[in-house]
Amino acid sequence: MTILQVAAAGALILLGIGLYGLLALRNLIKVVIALQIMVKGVVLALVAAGSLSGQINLGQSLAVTLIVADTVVAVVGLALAVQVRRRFGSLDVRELSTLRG
Amino acid sequence: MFNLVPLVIAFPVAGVLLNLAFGMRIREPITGIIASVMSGLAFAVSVLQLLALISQPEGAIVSLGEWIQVGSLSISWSFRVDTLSATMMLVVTGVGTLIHIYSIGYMHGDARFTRFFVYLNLFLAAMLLLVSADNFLLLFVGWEGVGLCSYLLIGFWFDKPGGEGWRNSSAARKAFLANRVGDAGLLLAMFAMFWAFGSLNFADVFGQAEETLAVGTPLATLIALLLLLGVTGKSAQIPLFVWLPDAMAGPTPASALIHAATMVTAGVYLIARTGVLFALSPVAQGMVVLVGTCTALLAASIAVGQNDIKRVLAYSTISQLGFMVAAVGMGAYTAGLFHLVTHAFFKALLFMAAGSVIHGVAHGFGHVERGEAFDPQDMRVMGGLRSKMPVTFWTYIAGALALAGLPPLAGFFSKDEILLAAFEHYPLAYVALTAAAFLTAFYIARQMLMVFFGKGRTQAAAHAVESGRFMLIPLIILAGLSVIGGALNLPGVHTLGGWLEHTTHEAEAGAFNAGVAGVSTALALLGFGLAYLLYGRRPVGERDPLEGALFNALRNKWWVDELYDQIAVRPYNSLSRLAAGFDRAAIDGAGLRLARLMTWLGETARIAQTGQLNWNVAGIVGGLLIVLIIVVLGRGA
Amino acid sequence: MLQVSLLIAAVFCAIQAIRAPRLLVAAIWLAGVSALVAVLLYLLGAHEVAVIELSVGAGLVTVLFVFAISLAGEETTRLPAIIPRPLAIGLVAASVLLLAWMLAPTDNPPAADDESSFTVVVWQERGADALAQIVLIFAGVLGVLGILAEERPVEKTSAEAVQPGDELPEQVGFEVESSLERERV
Repeated sequence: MTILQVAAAGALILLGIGLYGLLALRNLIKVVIALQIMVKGVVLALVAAGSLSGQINLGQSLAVTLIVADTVVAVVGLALAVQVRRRFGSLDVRELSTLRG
Repeated sequence: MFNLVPLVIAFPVAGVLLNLAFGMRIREPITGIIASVMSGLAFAVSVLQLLALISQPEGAIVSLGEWIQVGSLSISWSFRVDTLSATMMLVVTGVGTLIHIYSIGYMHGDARFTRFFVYLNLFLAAMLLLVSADNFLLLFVGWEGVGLCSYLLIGFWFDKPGGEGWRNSSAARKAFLANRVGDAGLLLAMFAMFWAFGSLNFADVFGQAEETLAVGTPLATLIALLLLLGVTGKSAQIPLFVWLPDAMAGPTPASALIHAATMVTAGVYLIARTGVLFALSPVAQGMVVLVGTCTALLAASIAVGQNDIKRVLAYSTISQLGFMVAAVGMGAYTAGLFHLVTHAFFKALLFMAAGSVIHGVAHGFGHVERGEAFDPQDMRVMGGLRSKMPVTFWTYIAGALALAGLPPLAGFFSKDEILLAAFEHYPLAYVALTAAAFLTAFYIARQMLMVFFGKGRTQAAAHAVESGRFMLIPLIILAGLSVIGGALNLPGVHTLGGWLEHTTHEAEAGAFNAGVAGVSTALALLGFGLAYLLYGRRPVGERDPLEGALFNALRNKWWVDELYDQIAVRPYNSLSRLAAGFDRAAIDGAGLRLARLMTWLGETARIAQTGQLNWNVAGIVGGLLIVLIIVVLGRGA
Repeated sequence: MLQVSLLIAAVFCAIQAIRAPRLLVAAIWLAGVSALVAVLLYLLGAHEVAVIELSVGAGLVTVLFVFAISLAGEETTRLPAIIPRPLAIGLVAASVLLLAWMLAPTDNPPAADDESSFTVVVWQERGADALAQIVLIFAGVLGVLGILAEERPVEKTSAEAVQPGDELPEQVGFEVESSLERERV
C-alpha cells in the first residue's frame, strides 16, 4: 500500500466514524468530538489530494484554513454546550428539542 | 378658438373634483353653485365654438396626444368640433346648466346635496366627451360614463324607507343592465370596424367605408345593425326601452337630465354621426325606421294609460325618441337633430315642471294629511293646481303645446319635418308616426287636465304651493325656448339644416308641405278635444273614463315587462342558481378539499420535524447520499 | 507497514473516542487521533500542517475540551441512541462506500512537485484565506463571548416567549378543522 492509499483509506474511515458518532451520540460534547474526528479525516484527504496532484503546499494551505475553522467551530460548540448545560441541566440533545407541534 | 374644446369637458370635471375635495366642508347651496358655474362655463366655451364655426364651418380636430398605441391600433385624445358636435354641446351644456340651477332648489335639504351635484357634473362631462370625441373608443368612454352616471342618479335615493329604496336601486340596476346589452352591440360594432378598416378614427372609418364597401354589403349591414343595438339601449328604443320608465325613480332633475338633454339623445347622435355607414346599408336604415316608428307608436299608446305624472313623460320621451330615430334612419338628419334640440327644450321643461308639481303637492301634503299612504306623483290625487302654481302651470302649458306640435311652437316645426320626410320616403311610417302624434296630443292633454284643471281632488292638492326662485327661473327660460325654438329651422330658411349640412352632407332640404302640417295640426287639436270630452268636463276619480280591456293593456304597458321577466330574467335567475350551486360544490369544494389535503400533508410532514439534533444530522447524511448517488450515476453514464 | 499500523491505531483511537462513556476519556482519545493523524500528515510530506495539527488539534483543542467538561460537568450515563442503530450504520456505510467508489481510480502516478514553498503559497497565493481565517477567529471569539455572557434576566422572558408561540399553531389548526367540520355538516 502506498502512503496515498493509506491516507485515502484513513480519510474515509475517520469520516465514517465521525458521521456515525453524529448520528448515534446524544451528548453534546461528544457530538463535538465526533465532528472533530470527521474533520481529521477531511484534513487527511485534503493533504493527500494536494500530494496526488503535485500541489502539496496548496493542499497544506487549505488544510490550515480548515483546521482554523474547525477549531473555531469546536470552541463555539463547547461554549454552547456549557450554556445548554447551565440552562437545561443536561447535555442530552433530546432535552433541547423545544419544537412541539 | 377650436383649441379650447377640451375645456368643455374640463370644466365639469373640475366641478367634480372641487366638490369631491371640498364638498364636505362648504355649505349647501355653494356646492350647487360651483357645479352650476362650471356647467355654465362649459356652455360659454360651447358658444365660443359656435362663433368660431360660423366663420369656419368645416370645423377642426383638436388632439391632446396619444392614449393607446398597440400594434396597428392607435387611439389619441382627440376632439372633433364640427357643426354636429357643437350643436350637441350647446344643447347639453345649455339645458344642463338650467337643470343644475333648478336642482339647487329641488334638492334643497337633501342629505346628499353635494353628491348629487358631483354626479350631475360627472354626467355632463361624460356626455360632452361622448359628443366631442373624434374616435369610437373615446366616444365609448363617454357612452359608458353616462351609463354609469345614470345608474348612480337613478339609484340616488337607494336608502328610502319602506321598500322604496329597494325599488329605486332595482330601477338603477335595470337601467344599467339594459344599457349593458346595448353597449355590447356598440362594442361589437367597434370590433367589426377595426377589423374591417384597421382604425377607430371617425375620418378613417368613414373614408374607408365609402371607398371600399359597396351599398348593401353584408359587412356594412352588420356594423350598422350592431350600432343600432347600441342605439336601442341608450336611446330607449324597442326592445331595450324598458329601463327608461323605471328610471323615474331618480330625483326629477336627474330625470330631466337623462331624458331631455343628455343620455338618451346619444343614440340619435350616434346614428347621425355614423350616417355614412347607415347610408351603405338600406336594410339597416329600414330597420332603424322600423324600430323608431314602432317605438314611437307603442310608447305613445302606453303613455295614455299611465297615472304617474313622471311615467307619462317617460313614455312620451321614448315615443319622441322614436320619432328622432326614425328620422335619422330615413337620412333626414336635420329633422332628427332639430327635433332633438326642441325636444331637449320642452321635455326638460316638462320634467322640471312636473318636479315642481310634485314638490308643491308633497309640500301641501306635509301641511295637512299625515300617516296615510300617499304618492305625490299620482295624477289622480292632483287637480286644480292651475291657480295654486301659476308659473308652473303656464310653463307647463308651453311645454305641452310644444310637445303636442301645435303651431307656432318649437315642436310643431321639428315634428313636421320628420313627418314630411316620412311622407316622402316611407308612407307606412308616416301613417304610424301621425297616429303617434295624435296619441301624443291626447295623453299630454289628459295629463294637463288631470293635474291643473278641475278642483283639487285631495287636501294635498288643495294646499299645494308654488316652488321657489331657483326652480322657476329655469322653467321660464325653457318655456321661452320651447315657444321660439322652432325659429332655429323655419321652413324655407333652414338655418339648422344649412348649418348641419357641413357635417352630415345631407342634400335635401324638404319643402314645407301644407298638407302634412295641416293633418298633424288637425289631429293634435282633435286629440285635445277628445281629451277634454273625456277628462275635462267632470272630475276624474279612481275610475278612468277609458276603463276597459284596451285601457287595461295600456296601463300594464302591454305586459312588456312581464314578457321580459319570463323570457330573460327568470331563465337568467335559474342559470345563476345553477352556477351558484356549481360554484359551491365544485369550486369552493375544490378549495376546501385542497385545504384539507394541505392540512393532512402538514400533519404528515410534521412527523419528520422532531427538532432533535440526531435526526437533523440523519437528514443531512441522507441528502449527501442522494447527491453522491447522482454524482456516481452521472459519472458511470 | 508503519503507515498501515499508524492508520489502524488512529482508527482504534477514533472508535474509542466515540465509545468512551466518560467525556474526559473521550477527549483524551481524540487527542490520540489527532496526534496519529499528524504523524500521517508528516509522512505525506505536509510538514507544516503536521506541526499545526499536532499543536492545535492535539494540544489546544484538548485543553479546550478539558476546560469545557470541567465547566459543564461530567456525564457518564450511556444514553441509548435516538436513531435506530441499523439505520445509522446503513447511512454511514452507504455514504462511505459511495465515496470510496468515487476515489477508486486514484492510483495514477503523483504529478511532479511544484517548487513554491508553503509560506509563499499561504501568504501570496492564498492571502484571501488567511484574511478569512482572521475574520473567522474574531467571529468565534465574539460568539463565545455572546454565549458565555451572563444573561439572568433573559432566561425567564425567553421561557415565557415560548408560551404564545406554542399555542398559536394549535389555534389555527382548530379553526381550519372546525370550518371543515361545518362544511361537512
